[in-house]
Amino acid sequence: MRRTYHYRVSGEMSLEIADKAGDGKFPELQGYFETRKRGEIFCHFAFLVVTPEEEFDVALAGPEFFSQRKDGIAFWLENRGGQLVHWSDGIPKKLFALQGFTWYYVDLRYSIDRGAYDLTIGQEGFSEALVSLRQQPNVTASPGSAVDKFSFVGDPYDDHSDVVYYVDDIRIAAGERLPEKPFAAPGRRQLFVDLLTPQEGESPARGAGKAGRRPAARRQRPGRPRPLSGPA
Amino acid sequence: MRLYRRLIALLESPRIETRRLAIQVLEVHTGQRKDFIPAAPEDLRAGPLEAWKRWLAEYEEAVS
Repeated sequence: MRRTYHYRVSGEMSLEIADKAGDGKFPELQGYFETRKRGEIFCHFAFLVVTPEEEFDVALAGPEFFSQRKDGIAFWLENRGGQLVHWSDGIPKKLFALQGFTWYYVDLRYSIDRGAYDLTIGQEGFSEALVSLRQQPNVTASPGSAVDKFSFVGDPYDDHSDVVYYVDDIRIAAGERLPEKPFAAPGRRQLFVDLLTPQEGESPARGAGKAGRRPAARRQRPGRPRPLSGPA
Repeated sequence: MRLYRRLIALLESPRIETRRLAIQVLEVHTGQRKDFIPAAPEDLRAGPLEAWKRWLAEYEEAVS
């Protein structure tokens, strides 16, 4: 993972996230903020994928990390074989087929109290949004599911991805009360991201990672039962 | 998907322990119970059971 001048939406650089299949680890950009248990969270980011067939994931999650339970993963975008999906109510719902070397602009408005979000995705060169969804249940359809972190990652499940993608213009804000018009500024304030740390996720057998960094543990893919015995 | 089909079918088991185990596994994988209470009378289980069946239909359509 590295900053790069090559592709960017604004400013001088974007962040390149690159994974390699079979290397036993995965790249991750993870940012933390004060746990929010009520109100709304607004997220905006842009991404460009060089390898549209390769898996990557974007998530907003809470104190229970990326588990599928309340206060775990709340919002989840996944690239499945070139098809971008969002996980809502435990279902991977298709959005559209990704094109390579194209900037996509994602706007998320997540209501923690309702456990639901509005999702808008635009594409460079087009004035009309590709995606405009309202009141989508969060991953586990859990009202009140708290959030405190976001994540941009390669393949944290099967180590099969050779994805290369770029992320830019990441903005996260919180608001206790919303005006009628989405994303109007009054009352919203920028969250201070307590810790923004690029990480490399390693398999549990390789140890806990570097000092000062939270290790990014490999995750369990939904729908694939883990044996009742064995490593978590 | 076969796992979900089987688990949701087991929610209709006449055995409470089977229903209890099925909903526990569903909750592990989806984070949800949809208000299904294994020990509730059959008429009170009917609504949540239908919710699971609708969910399964939506899931199958989404992944097809």
